[in-house]
Amino acid sequence: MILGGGVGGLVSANKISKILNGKAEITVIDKNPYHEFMASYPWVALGYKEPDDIRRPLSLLSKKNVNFINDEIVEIQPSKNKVITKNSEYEYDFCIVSLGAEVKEDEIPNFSEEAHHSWSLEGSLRLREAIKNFKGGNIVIGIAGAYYRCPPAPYEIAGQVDFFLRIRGVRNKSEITVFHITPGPMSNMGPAISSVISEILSNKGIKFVGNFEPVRIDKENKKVISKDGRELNYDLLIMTPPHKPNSVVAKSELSSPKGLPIVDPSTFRSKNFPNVFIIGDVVNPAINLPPAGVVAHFQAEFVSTQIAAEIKGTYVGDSFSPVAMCIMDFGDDALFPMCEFSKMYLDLSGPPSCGVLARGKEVKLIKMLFEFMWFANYLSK
Amino acid sequence: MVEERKKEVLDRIIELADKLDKNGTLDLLEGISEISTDAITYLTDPRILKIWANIAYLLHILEMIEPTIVSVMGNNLSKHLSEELKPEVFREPPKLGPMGIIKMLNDKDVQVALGFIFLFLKAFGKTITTSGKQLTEMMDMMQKQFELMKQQRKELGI
Repeated sequence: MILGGGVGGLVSANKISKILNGKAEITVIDKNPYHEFMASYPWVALGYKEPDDIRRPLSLLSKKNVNFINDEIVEIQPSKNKVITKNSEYEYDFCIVSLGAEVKEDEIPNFSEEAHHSWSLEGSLRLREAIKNFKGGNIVIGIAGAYYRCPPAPYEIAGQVDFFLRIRGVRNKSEITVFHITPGPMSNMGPAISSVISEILSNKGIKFVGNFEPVRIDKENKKVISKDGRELNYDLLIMTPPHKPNSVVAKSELSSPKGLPIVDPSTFRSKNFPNVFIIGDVVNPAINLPPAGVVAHFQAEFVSTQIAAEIKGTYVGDSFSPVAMCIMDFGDDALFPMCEFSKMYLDLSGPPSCGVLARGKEVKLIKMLFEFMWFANYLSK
Repeated sequence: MVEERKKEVLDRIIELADKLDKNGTLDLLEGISEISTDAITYLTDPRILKIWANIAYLLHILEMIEPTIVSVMGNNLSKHLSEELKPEVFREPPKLGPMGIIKMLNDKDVQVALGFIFLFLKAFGKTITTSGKQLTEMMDMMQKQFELMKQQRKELGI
């Protein structure tokens, strides 16, 4: 039983089906009938892609001998090996929980009326309209809190918006400011990445405001206000929505009273329910891994291997690489950063080891190819 | 006419598929398609990523150097090296004592070279100081994060 049809769920379903080849009944449950390639949301917001270009129906999994149930999960009962959905209930032998993070716009007052974002398909289309109608002024781009999907995304969006405004001829009438909780752009990942992003932002004339923890959006005066009282005026506000780990998992027996799942970080197996594995954005804040699709991808490969090994009894599969990488598209520039978290996530003995694998607008091609490969491999028509 | 052309194309495709099947290329393509997703896992091994990042950085440094300067410097370096380092110099290398070194310091070309070397040393010194500061800042930031993470893990019992 695989809960969630995002990156973790899709990769797990494919991998288990491939290894066990008919020896297991695999079911994916998700309330969304589509798998959406979230890394391309900014491309939808900027009009480079349409929603149907970046999503496919999860029902296509039937080609891989995987059942798909389009239903909303309302409760997980690991002590009974049971999952309750809005319309039914299901039992399992093994369960992979990959329900991701939830967007909670109402956590910040005035967020839904004032802020735009590209952290959902609907949000991306709304942002597209706002940018289309923008005639000049202050664009402020930032984060609602430290926990949000795809940490580099705000910088990418800033770069893409800058490029778009230059093409439209309104860049000289606009100011773009990025604010973040960290002192420098992605400075929590070390100077190798931070210095390159700072250079790209500076080349584009984008201002960066660090150590800015937003607490309030002043709707009347069009201002974002930080914890230490600083204010940023905006005409267009683009902000990551507040995120929370999935609430169904948070209130289940899989989690601590504070709502964080309890897993063995070396296997992602639930500490109390060994036939349950928890991966992706729902568990990563608890084990010091970033909430990013690429991490969920590698976790999915790893836990699928463990389940297959248990069923087959003899299979030896892949180990888990605690790495993250992505293509950051800045419109007319692109970056391919990577970080390795071995020392950080298992025993907290050292910082992430980060570097830049490539830079230049041609790097964007890798993102395009990856999106193509993603659907071709995991959810082909 | 169109139908005939379609038939011709289909015949050629069948013929090609037959050839690919006979010489084993089809099996190879099937294998590549099978391992394409696994390949991502292996190619993203931390060790490989680190090597790749270091190579990319060296390439970036090369990218920053202006080829005009490299070619002008390279041409002149080879010209002046051949003027100064003639074969007889290797047969009887010049010996410089302390007085000879002091005398050489009066040479205009040696002074230019020394000036350049000191500029490089200054830049190198600045590099060490800035890098040290950046790494210390990062470690301090991580230390704070680690404390919070340790506390969280303790609460979760992991």
